[in-house]
Amino acid sequence: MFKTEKISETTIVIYTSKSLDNSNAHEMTAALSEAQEAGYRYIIIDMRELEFLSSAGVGSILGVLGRSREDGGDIILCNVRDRILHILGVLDLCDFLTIKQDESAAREFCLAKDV
Amino acid sequence: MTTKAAHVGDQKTSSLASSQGSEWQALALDSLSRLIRQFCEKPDFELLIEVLLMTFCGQFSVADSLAVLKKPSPQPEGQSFFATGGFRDNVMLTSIRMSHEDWESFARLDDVIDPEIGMGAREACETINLLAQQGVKLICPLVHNRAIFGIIGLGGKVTGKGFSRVDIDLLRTLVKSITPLVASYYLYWQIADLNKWYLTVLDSVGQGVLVFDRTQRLRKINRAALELLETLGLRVSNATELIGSDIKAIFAENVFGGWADRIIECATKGRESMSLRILAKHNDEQRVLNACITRMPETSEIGAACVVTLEDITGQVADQERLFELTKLAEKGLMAASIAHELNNFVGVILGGTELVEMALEEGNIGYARDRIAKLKGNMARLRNFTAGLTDYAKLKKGKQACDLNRVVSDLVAYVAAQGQFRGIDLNMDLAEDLPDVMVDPDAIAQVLVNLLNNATDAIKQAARMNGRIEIRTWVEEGLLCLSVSDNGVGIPSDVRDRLFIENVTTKEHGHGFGLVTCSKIIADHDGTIEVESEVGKGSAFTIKLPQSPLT
Repeated sequence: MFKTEKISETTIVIYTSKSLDNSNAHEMTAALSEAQEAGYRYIIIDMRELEFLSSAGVGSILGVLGRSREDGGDIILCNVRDRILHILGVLDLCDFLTIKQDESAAREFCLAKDV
Repeated sequence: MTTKAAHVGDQKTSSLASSQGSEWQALALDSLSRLIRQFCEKPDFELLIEVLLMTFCGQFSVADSLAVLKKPSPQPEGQSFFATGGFRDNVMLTSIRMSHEDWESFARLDDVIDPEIGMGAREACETINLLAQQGVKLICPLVHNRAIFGIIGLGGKVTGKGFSRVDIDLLRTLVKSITPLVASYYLYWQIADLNKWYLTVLDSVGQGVLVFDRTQRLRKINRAALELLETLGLRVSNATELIGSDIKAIFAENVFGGWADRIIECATKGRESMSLRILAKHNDEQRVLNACITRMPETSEIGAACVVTLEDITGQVADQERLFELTKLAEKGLMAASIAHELNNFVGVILGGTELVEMALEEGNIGYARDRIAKLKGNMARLRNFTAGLTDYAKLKKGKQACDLNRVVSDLVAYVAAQGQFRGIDLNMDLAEDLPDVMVDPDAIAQVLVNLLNNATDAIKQAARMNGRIEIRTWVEEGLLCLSVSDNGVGIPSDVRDRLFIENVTTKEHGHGFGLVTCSKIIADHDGTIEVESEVGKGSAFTIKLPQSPLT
């Protein structure tokens, strides 16, 4: 299970553990879907702990990203390490995903969008 | 509808040369190796497919992917559908049912295809069209041992770009790497599913089912058997505890007496299937169980030697006993009515004859009076024969004794033949000359015969036959004494025939249906069998077979 923190009525933060791979990708999908069901349009995924991101981990985010955007919201990644950024770059996803430097930048982004 | 689909296998590249390609491949293979390791620790097939689909999503930067897997051929349903992302909730996709022709089409496509590029009419199929319409951009068949067992489908890239040659190469490589694992565990999943299904069915059966191996150890027991054994004092927390127990421990001596040996005997020799009525005692309460022991063929590879089914029929037996007593009362009532009717006929004739003699004497017609008196004597002689027959019948002792079955038959037929209901019916006997004596209760066997003869007469009357015929035969066959009563009456419909001896069914307008149940009960008490062959409109034949028990 991933730790979560409610920021506002529309925004929630999900903190990843050290790895997001086959062993917990389905749990990430479940956590994201649950947050969407609960009405959080903006979901911040704080990756400060994340050391390994597998393609299954990426898939767990991509599979539910469309729903947030359809609802006028987004899934925002923050505190992403260089190694993880490189992986996302290789997958050509850096421009597609919303990636912020740190948690405060992510929160500001959500607040600005949620006005 | 125009089909748009095409192979893209011709775009193969010899290697993933670019550094980007290597990164992709490394990421994918790392992900897959972790997936396999995780799956080996926790073999959850549905989770495997879910994570596999997520891996494809992440690997190819797509939000949606799906897998359609063909179930093994003996399965009644055709396929399983798995999906992630938007495909998961896509009603059109979740409802797809690929036909045999569709699978054939996919089987011809042994490489990645892009349904939108264009495809020859020969390979076209509705499913490919449907997949394309719902956003599937790449399809890769899962081929194992040269047979297709599923497909993987990918949606469009989230970046909006198209799939590159490197993408297609990688998809092909990944799918080929993962296919043996998916195929093996898909089969394993199906078998586990099938096993679960069979166990559910077995546990739903009302009869107790026990399966023993060749060493007479328990291999399988269903819920009903467990509950039955528990009512007989067996104390176990679950069925698993009993697996491996010896048959003699299951059918314990203190509860089942020596029945375990009898069951073993039935399971190892003699007929393939045997039915026994066995007695079990627990806490001074006796239970009656119907046991059917079926021996498995020697060639059976399932490791089972015999299957024993058990049914507690204590209540049924008590009901049958009550029914039997009621039926005997009913039969006695019917017999009394029949005797009264016959006696009344004789008395009527004698009274009428006496009046004629009286009138003749008053008129002084001595010759006529003598003639009437002679006829009266004849009638009274017949009356004496009739009452003598009744006396003989009443003298028959109750209980089993060494009997000449032919004698029982001929005495009874001589008695009943005088009754009015058999007039006009050709009553024939074909009795074997060398019939050995048999231990039977002659009273009971006579009751069976009365029932069968009455039924035959009624059947002939229902058919309105002018040439009614009843034939009674005795013979010896395979060491059994056989007795048959056949008629050319209306016959018995097949749906009634199957239930004749177990339920109170009747084809007669005023019948109660007790008669044949009683017959069956009596013959069962003699360890014999009663069977019927019948053809509607032509007649019926009831055959009784009795064992030649020692004359003690």
